[in-house]
Amino acid sequence: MTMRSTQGWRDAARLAALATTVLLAAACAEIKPLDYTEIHEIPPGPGLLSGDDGAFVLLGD
Amino acid sequence: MHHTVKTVLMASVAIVGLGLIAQPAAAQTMKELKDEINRLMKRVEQMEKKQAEQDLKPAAGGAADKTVTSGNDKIKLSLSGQVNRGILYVDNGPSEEFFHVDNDNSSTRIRFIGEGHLNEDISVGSQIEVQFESNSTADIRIDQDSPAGPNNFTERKLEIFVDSNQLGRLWVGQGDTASNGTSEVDLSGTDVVAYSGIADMAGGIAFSTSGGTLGPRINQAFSNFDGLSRDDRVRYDTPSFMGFKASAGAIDGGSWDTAARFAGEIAGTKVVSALAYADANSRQGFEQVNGSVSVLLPIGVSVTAAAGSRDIKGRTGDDPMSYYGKLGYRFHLTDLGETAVGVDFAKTDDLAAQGDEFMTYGAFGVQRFDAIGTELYLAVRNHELDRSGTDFDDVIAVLTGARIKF
Repeated sequence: MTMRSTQGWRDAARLAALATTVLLAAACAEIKPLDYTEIHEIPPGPGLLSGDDGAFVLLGD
Repeated sequence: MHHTVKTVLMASVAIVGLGLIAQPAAAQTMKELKDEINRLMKRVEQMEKKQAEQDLKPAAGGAADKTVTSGNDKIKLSLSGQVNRGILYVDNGPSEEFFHVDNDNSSTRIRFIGEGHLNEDISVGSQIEVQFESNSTADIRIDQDSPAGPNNFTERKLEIFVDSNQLGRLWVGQGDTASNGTSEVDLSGTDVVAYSGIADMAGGIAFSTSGGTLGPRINQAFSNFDGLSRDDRVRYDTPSFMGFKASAGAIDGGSWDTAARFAGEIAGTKVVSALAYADANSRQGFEQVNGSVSVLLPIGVSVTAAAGSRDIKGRTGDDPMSYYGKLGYRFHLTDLGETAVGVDFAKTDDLAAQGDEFMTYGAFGVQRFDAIGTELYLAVRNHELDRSGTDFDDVIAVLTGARIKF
């Protein structure tokens, strides 16, 4: 790992510290949980054929 | 019940018969009487047949009205999926080409999820998700003679899980590693065509000099260093606390990773973020740290950023580093669905070779049609690669298409 490499990790560490700070600041505020679907998942919402459910329920309710 | 109907109708026949017999003989012939009895008997048979058909039908909404049945009433099995096809235009300088593609930003796929509840707290489940990409945008080559990619389903998720509201979730099998997706949080509403993994749009296209000498492909010069993708692993997620959640996983071959995530809404502003560390030295030969954050303001404006760095085992010189930024806006042009537009920028240094500087910027829009589960999209992106001693032309890509969730 070279000096530039070390600098890269320092940048990453700074980013991590910034993200942590944002998260801690958020923790101090009034937070409502957010139902977030990761972008590689099939998105929530209605489907062309499945309707409002967005999925065919083959068994159960 | 049909016995009751039959009894009532037979009684009716008898009454009518008696009534007819009671009429003056001059007014009723024996033939008329027989015809009337025959008509009523046919009527009885018709009603008996109809009643029998109704008896065979289950109650409305019951489990038996589905083609597939189960003896276990505590389970749920659902099927979902999507088709995401488009047309991609690429110009890498010496060559230009149109491709019919599967959009690898969110590939064509199907998914089965089975879930069952042990009690009020604990549930178990399984997931099978496979994709089928013909000519994936991530794999095409500018000079290919036939569509890229395997002509078959490929694995995404083949896993089981145990979920507890109090203890968290344990995953076993092929699926998202703990760090997967941690460079890719995005609230812009445009991820179907543009997110931090910009190589999903035309990643297989190689840079070229004006003389036609090919250099590295886009996906060799760029990475968002997004965790360890999907793999065979065991993974544990803590329960969510105030929107925070932590994960850790051990992956086949000795790699491991850990991540922290947040998803919450603060004074109407939505915030998602993630941070991860991955040690893949035992198999892929690197360590990696990466993260991302996305903020959506109540007015529809979103800001997204991501960064990551990889320490490659045995490599001298600078470690590869990547940055990403996006500005987006979500609004309603029509009642049919939301419109989302955005611009982004990404930079990766020293990945394909020491000293390389890869840069890309793009503009894009997505129109949703909620009632039919459809999104139409259009994106334009320019890719640049600066390498000492070599002058590569820019690669321009334009992608348009639709994702239809079925």
